[in-house]
Amino acid sequence: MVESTRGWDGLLAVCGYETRGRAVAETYAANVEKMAILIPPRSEFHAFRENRRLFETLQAAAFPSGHQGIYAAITELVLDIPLDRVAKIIVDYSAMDRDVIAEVVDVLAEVSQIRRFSVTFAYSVGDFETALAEDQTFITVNRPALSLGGWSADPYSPLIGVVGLGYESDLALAALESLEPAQTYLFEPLGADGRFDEIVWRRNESLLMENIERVASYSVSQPLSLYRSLMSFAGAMAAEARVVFVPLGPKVFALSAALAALNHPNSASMWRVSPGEARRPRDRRATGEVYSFDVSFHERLALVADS
Amino acid sequence: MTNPGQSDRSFFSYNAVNLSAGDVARTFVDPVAYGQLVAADNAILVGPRGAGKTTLLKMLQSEALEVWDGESADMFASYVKSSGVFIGADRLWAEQLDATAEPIRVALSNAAYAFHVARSLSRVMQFRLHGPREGSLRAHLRVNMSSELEAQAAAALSRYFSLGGSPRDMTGVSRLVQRRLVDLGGLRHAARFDDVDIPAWVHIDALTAAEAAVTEFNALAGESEHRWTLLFDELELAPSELVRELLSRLRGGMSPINYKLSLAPVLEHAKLLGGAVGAVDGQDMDVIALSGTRREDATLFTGRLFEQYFSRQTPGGTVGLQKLFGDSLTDGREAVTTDDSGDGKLSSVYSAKGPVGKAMAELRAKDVSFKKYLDRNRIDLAHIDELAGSSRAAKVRKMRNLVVTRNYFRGSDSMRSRKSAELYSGYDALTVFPDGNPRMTLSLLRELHIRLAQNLDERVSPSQQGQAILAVQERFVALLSAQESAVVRGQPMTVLELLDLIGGRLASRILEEEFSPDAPAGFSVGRNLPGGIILLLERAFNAGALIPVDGLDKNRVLDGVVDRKFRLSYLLAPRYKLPMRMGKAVSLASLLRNVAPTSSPLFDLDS
Repeated sequence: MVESTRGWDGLLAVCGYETRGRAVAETYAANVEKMAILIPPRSEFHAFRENRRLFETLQAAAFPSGHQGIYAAITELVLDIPLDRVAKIIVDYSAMDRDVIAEVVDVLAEVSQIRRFSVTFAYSVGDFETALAEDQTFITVNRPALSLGGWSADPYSPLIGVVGLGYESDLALAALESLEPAQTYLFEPLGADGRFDEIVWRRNESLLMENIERVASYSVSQPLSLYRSLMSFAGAMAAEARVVFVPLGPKVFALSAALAALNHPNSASMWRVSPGEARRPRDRRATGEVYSFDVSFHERLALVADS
Repeated sequence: MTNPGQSDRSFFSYNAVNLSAGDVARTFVDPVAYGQLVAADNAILVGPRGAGKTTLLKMLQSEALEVWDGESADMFASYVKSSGVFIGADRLWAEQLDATAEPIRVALSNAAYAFHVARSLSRVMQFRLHGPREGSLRAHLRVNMSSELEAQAAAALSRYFSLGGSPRDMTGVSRLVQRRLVDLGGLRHAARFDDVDIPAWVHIDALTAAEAAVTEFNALAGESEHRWTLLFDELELAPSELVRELLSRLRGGMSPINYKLSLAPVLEHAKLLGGAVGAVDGQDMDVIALSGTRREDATLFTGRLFEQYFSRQTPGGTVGLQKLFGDSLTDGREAVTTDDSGDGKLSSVYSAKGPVGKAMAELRAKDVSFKKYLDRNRIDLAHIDELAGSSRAAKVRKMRNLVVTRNYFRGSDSMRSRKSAELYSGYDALTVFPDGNPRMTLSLLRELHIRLAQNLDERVSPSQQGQAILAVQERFVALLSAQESAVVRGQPMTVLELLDLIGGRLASRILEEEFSPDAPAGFSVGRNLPGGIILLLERAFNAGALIPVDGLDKNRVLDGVVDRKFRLSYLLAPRYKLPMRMGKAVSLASLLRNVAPTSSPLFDLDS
């Protein structure tokens, strides 16, 4: 959990249609100096208006969610802080899509060439939503994540696919079918809700059985542990293989994968597969649990500072 | 006997791109296309995912030819007189190149590919000079060179590809290539934030550099006439500028290099090139299609994969595959040809006591339209032997698969979903079912293997075969589910949804409507279909779900799907309860009229 008594220079969040997208801001507003929000396109569903109202009340500056908007938002948060002081911000990534998570990580790394950052990544857990698991999967996005697509210094080195599993088994298969990795490692999330775990297992059963010797589980409540696993994996493979992370399921996997890919730009990358605009907007309410970990950004490297 | 999990990895690796040339060779079975590929000077190999393109290209390398122990290995090794240089690519790398900032994207992509070619060349040169001898069954295009001459060859390679160093051997070339690629990555990164000056070493003409390098190698080896073949796999992933350059090189000339390229059936580049791919077909190169041509060859090839696989399970012994899997209710020949001429005499399976005869009698009893058809054509099932040599015998033979399928699925338990795949069991049907797709054949072998008795003496029951067939179909359907969606009339639609519409409609015509021996087996794609539908059909074609049935017109192999005729892959036959048969095609627009799932018809245009 995030200690609500700590102080931050700024908070960055997404103002989207999920109710949980305002949970972190509501809880920690008193402990941050400034707020900035990113407004993704096609957000005006479900809780968008209430979210927008809250952020306006909190005097959050609004920016579009592309690379330039993210850059402007982060710059805005730390504008008044001397360059020789470490800027402390909190990033609520609960309602960010995986491209935005990758972009935020990339922008933080980019700006860290000028100044140091200490970033608390906070994740507000969403309640179990049956309808989410029942949505039909359309695939319209199947490409490297924006900004963290990586680079192959040796295209002949074997490709290792590392998939964070979620409800959407078709998306996992789509990515694997496109990438055709020599080996696939699966990371199975264990959430706070057993119903979620059960659906994820059932949906991905054939994939899990086929790769049974290369399945690891991770706890959504322990993002630091997951981050360390993915970092170790990318580091161990860097000399002899290319690693491509396919983040599905809980966004804690996407964030950890983005940080690992950032730190191994010549051998690790992040792949994005998604319904894109064909996604059916579903609201997620916050359970009240917030998981976080702190990362220090300095000269384009992301280092875990604390948990 | 081993289980599939313990089996030879190379047999069950679903993509040859992850295997060394030696591993590919160990389980290689040569299809007809391999002979064509070997015989051609320049060639374009066209086929969907899993059709074996990568395997065929890898089998043109000396490294593979030296360890291949197939019956025809000596012969083909002697025919392959050029040094094959495999140049692979994967989707991740292609996307990474494509995601480069625009001002340097073209130059950087071409340079990256050029360095890739340099590395591939250096590896083949290394093999020709120092490749391991153990395990080699025959020497293939080996060459001797002193270390001084090798250093000169390596230096030439470095010089022509602007690698920026003086390597003493081919390993040194690989290191320089690696460094250049890392430098390119740095340049690519810098270009995201600032304008960058493009260094001179980025501007390389890969093919000209390759020609110069092999010419110099030939001279140093004392083989001035030696030829090389660049084997570009998955060319759809290469930069379009390189594709254009390669296609122009296919026109021949004085180069010491030939080109053999593999492509997906529907290629964005081909559209960009305005038909240039087709235009070069003819005397300078061969187009070899791996899908939709010579189905008899495809079935024969699948049978050989079965034989090779099971002979490996019983070293020194033999396995009767017909005995192991039994007879099929359907006729394999009907699945591969519309030619209904036979030897005149109907076999015993058509007699009153034979399985087909029984199925016909059952259908006549429960299907008035079939009875009317028999009466109209004076076909008396009780005296079917008397039809020998008549045109009516040909009619009976031609409708066999249609009739047994209609009979199997009509009636009180017509939706025998759990047993539905048993119709496709039996050795002949099993070799037709994968539709010549080696990747799916290996998947079928794996599933059958799981259900085999330990000693291979016991027959695999139709029920067990049905389970294996369904497991393979499930895998194929998963592959189709993984294809990107498209927007059709404002609504997202998946490839599988479209295939389900087509398959469901074909099944309805065959199983539910009035019996007709001419019920459609396929469809033609008109020009007026919505763009999203065309896109989905193209993706289905590339994934192997659509099989062209309009004959081989080499000039049209890469023309996409419009104005062409297709049937669904037999891998989907159990899903839709379709017979595995050839037959006439109807317009897709008319086939699907009024069955689209949305309120606004998807197909309101005739084509």
